[in-house]
Amino acid sequence: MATDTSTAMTSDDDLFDPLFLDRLRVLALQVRRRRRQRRQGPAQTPTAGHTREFKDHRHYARGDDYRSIDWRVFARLDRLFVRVFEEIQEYHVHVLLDRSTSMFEPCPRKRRDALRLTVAIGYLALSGGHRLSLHSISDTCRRELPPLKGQGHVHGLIDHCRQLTFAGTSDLATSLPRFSAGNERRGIAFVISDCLGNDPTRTIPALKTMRSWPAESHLIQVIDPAERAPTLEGELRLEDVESGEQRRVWLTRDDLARYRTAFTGWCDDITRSCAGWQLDHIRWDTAQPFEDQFLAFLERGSALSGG
Amino acid sequence: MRFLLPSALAWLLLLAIPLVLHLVRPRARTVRTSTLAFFIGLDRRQQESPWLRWLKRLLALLLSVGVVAGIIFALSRPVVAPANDLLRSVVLLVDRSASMAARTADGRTRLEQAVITARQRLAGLAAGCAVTVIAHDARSEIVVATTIDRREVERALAALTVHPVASDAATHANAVALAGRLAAAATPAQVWDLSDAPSADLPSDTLPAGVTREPLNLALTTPLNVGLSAADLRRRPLEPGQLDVFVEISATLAANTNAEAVLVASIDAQQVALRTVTLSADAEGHCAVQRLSFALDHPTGAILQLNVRLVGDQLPLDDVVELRLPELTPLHVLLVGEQPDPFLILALAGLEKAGGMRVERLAPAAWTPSTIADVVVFHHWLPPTWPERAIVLVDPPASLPPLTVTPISDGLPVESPRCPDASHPVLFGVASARVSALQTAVLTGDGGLQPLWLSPAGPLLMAGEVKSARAVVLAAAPSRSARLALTAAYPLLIANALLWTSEPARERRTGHRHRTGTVLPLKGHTLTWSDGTVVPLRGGMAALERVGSWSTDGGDLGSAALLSLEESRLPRAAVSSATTLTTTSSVWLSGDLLPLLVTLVFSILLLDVWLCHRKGVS
Repeated sequence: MATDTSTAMTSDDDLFDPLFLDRLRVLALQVRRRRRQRRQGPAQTPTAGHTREFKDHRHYARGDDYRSIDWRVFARLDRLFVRVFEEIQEYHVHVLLDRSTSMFEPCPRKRRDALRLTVAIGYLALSGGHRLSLHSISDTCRRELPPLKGQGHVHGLIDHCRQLTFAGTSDLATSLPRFSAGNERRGIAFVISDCLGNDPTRTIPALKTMRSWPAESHLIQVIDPAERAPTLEGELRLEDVESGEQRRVWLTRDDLARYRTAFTGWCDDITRSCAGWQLDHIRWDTAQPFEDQFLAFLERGSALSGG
Repeated sequence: MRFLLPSALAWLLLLAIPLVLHLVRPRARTVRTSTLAFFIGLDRRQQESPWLRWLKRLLALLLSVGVVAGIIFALSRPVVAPANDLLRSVVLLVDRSASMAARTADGRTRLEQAVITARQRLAGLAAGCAVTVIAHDARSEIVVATTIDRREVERALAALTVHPVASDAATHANAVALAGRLAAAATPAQVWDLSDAPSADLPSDTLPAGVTREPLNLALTTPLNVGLSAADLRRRPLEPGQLDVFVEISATLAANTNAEAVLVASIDAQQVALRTVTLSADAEGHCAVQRLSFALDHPTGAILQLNVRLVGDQLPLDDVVELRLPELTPLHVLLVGEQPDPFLILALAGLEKAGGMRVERLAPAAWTPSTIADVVVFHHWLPPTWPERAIVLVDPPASLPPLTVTPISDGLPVESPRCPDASHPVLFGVASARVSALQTAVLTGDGGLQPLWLSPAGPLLMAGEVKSARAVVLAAAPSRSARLALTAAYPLLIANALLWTSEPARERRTGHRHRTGTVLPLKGHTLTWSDGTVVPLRGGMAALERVGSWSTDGGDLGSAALLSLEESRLPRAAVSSATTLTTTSSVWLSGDLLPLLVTLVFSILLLDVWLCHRKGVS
């Protein structure tokens, strides 16, 4: 069922308030600091890059490119040393945002967290010198923005996210195959979705598509506590926000307990399947603080965070 | 059916509440959800069709209306019982004699049926009507004094148990008279006579004015029972070490039918005899009393148990009799007389030689003896006063109160004396028809002596109990009789007399045999029954109200059995009788309907919960 979200958008101006942006900058600094700390370890192995930015010398070893031998040092010390240059890695970060109605109704916090996640990932990508692409998925996959590069596009990204509406149905089975990460080896794809739809049982086969992407793939499943453990009871007319289908039910505590069991089992199935396909699966709880979850997410290891 | 609190029916207006709630049922709240998939899978009923949901709602409405109506009807106290609003007092006269233990096919005893009937009728009484409960068997007992507390009456009725004691028409009439006297305190009153044999023809003056009796017949319509109505053990007179067992079996069967009963005798759980008895019922279902006797050869053990069995027997209380085996030691007989009759001496010598007794002689001058004999035989001599012990008087010369002896000069030849009681133990095995004796006197007994042989002149053989001891008196001279002394009847008669008169003394040593209901003075503090039940002796007395053998810590032994022809012959209720209360199907819909309604309401509630609230309903 289509939902007019414009009202919600205008009333949700604090979505990217200055405080959030400040926290985002702090988050980016924390990520860089951790990246540097990781490189100062005694067992670090410098990567020989191909830029002209000198980094260090090290003893020549068999197999090293003889073109990188520093002959001046050889003339002075009579020993072979090679020059090591800073490697600059540039990734293409793809963010696939689920814009179906279920991401906004009946739990608006899912929309808030999904957009904040999009902006946070985009900020990290742009500030890190990577390219960023934003796609929206519902019953299809559509590119929202052309590839962006440079920190100056952050405000444009935020403005665009503000304008995004959430409506329609989601069908990962049809939308995910339509996404193409290109042939770039250095790509990172983030799928932000609740994985719900008319038929959640089709979600797991649909996620298998992500396995074929050459990019590093992350599935961020945004779930609200009201979906995981609803507090409904008694006689109700339930309406599916996406399809508009209605069902009259009488829910008891036993029913709710079985609902929780089924829902948790479904989430566990997704986790198991993703682990089997070497996909990173994160359950995002909208009731938890954003920063804590985002930091924990980055610490799980991602090329974006230098992990 | 009527209502004790009809004003409570006004609450039926509350039935409008579930109807209104059903009609103006609030619409279900609409809740938007991310997906329905997980809710649809919860219960198959989520997919039920609309007509089924409508049917369930209708059923829920009917159940709600049923619950409310049931509660209101329960509050209005519906009863199905005769209206007795005018009565000021009622006496429940409950028969608890042995026959009330007869069970119907559904396992309910007559006493239980009596209690159910009483409860049903009590429900119809006005709240201020006083109730008295009297239970009776051979005796009457006021179980609950006059009260208006129904709970006390209920408790007393629930505590009633059958006493394995016989009752008869006389005891029943006494109980009715007692009930009438109690009921007369507040008239108009009624006596509800709950019995399996409430005699309808009591004397009109049994009950005082203002008191009426309503007989409530609890007899079975098709009684089936076999029981032991008599049992005895006797030493065989001329065969020491042998016992004769005498059994009397009575039965009630379906009219004009036959049945086979089995009698099993066992000593200390070891079966020693088995007899099959064929019983034939007359048009009223009564069987002629069957008498059996069989010998036990040198039995060893303490207790003989007789058990009669019949398939479908409804009254077990009269099926078992326990008898303590008598001691088989020789009988100690003391013969006192100047010149005892030679044939008497011969008979005693023969008995002594057979090993059954030990005979001593004592000259009359030496009376009173220093030794204690089981029986003293006086021949033609009498002590100054009647001795308080077992005696046999042969040819008494004079009167000795309470016995009056009228001598006949030269004697009177008597052929085939008449026997008023041929089954008396003294005459067991004696062919009285062949006796030819010379009667020397006419005996006149006073009190407990009864004639056993009668000649035209009067009794010549008497037996009975005088001064708490048994006595046999024979007014005949064997030596002058034509045939008496030389026939086998004479030593048999003497042996029977010796054994019968000595029986109480021996019983004191080997155990009394009594009918249930007997009250006995006993030594000791407690009485222990064979099933282990211990009963304290109050005031040195005990009422034998169980079936079995018993002993006291004071050394007394005995056994008790029902042995009642009246109880074994179960009364039969006429099928068409309006007062017969044996139907079980009407039990649920009679009396106070409150428990039934409460059960109904709870059942509906449970059904409602199970159907409508066990899981979600759509």
